[in-house]
Amino acid sequence: MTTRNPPAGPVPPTESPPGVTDEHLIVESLTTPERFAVIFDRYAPVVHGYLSRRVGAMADDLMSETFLLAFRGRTGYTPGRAPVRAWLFGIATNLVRRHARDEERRYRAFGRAAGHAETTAELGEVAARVDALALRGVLADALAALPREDLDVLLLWTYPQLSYAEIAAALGVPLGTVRSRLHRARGKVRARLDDRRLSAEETA
Amino acid sequence: MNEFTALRDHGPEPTPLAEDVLARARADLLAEIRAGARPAADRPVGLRRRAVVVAAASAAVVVVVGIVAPGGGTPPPPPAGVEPPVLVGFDMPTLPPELNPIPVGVTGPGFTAEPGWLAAVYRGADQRPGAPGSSIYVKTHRTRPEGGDGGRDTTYAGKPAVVERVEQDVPEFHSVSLTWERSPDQWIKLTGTGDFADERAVRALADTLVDTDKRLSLSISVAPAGWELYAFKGPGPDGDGAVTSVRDPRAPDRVIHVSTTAGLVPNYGEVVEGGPVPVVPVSVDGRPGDLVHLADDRWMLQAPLPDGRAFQLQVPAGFTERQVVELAEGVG
Repeated sequence: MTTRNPPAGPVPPTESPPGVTDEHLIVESLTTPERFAVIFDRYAPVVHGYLSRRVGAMADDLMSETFLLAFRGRTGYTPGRAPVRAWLFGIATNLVRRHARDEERRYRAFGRAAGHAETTAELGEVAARVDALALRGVLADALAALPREDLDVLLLWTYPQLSYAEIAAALGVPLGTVRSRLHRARGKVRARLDDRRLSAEETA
Repeated sequence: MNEFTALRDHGPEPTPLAEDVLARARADLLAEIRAGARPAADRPVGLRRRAVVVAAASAAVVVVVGIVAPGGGTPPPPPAGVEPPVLVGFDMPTLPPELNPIPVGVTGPGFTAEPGWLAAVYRGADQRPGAPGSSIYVKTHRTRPEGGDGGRDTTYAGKPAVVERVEQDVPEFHSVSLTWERSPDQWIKLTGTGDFADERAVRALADTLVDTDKRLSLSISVAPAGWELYAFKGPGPDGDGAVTSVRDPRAPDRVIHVSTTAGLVPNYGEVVEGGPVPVVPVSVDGRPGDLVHLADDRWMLQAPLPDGRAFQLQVPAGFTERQVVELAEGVG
């Protein structure tokens, strides 16, 4: 029986030669696995940014897991079907699904935090900040209420700004499904924002 | 402000990526890569002696199986920019024996390789890349593959064999391998993960192996003299995504890639270079193709395949336009 060795210490980043495409790196990593580290260097920060907006501090672990899974599954990557970054965000999104309840709690907490405006700022700043915080609360509620499938599409479109085709490849769904899910999610968020605007006008 | 900008500006904010977190994640990945880390089925074998398929330095189609020693055993790369390489016939290897029938719950096989081995990969029907699941790897080696530390000697089909169980952090990635010399110069390492990570299951799978004379679906019949098969993988369910690569062992950065796509890519010159680049119309076996000469002297070519798919050819600097078309005409 064999078990994995403990992680090695920090290693200096691998140089990323200009002009080497992501797909080329994946192919190279089939025979020279260390080349996969260049993929990590290119995408770890953006994958972490996406994950942290969804699951907060848990992103530290999920970002690491995303690249471990990607490395193990690199023979399953299909060049030409989707860019490497879409493939990576697909893996990251799968991992987020394991933590759906944590994500929803994060949104709820984010919304609750919107109710606490600081009182030491100038009056004008306080007004703007209260407005922004109220908006945060609305957005947090909207995200927490979205169906999981719609939420994935909306956040892949909004944060890493993947295209329709990239989202379709990342999630393994038809392109038309991406369009309809994004349309539906956008409509629900807009409805929440409109409600807030209407409420503000009525009370003005 | 629309919904998207509202989310970006006022939605949940990203948490900072600390340097130590980044370094730790990178170290974990490097540990995975270096210390055991390929999937159990993909452990490196024969690092000191690697069997490679080399394009013979003659016009005839000849397969030479060579042993390349790393480091000083290889001649220095040719001086750049002197003469274009000489193109010769190139023969692709046969594929590993097949599982017959294909076990319930997996599809495939897809194929991949490294110098020294070829592998047929049977994945779970709904398994996404990187996700845990049940898979089967049938790898053929020309020499006895190196095992891990925990292999147990046994017999299979009356021959000496080794069974190895590899435990991973994620239980779904546990694997069990059976290795034996199936015929002279053909070693088989059959590995099961997930539901197949069981010695009895792996032995039962080994009983169903049958030889095949099939070759890769994406083949190269012309390559520069002395270049070796570097890597390949099979197509996806739609027939696209197959990759075959050859490289110059004396200058490993010099690689020719061929990959399949579902169809021709519109605006090819803009797509491959990220900006408008002239596209030269070419004829590839009578079929219209697009040739792009990149700023760094590399070449990209796309052309249709007879079955309706298309392929892309990526060629490093140092080749002539005519040679790029010759290489493309050897793709099938």
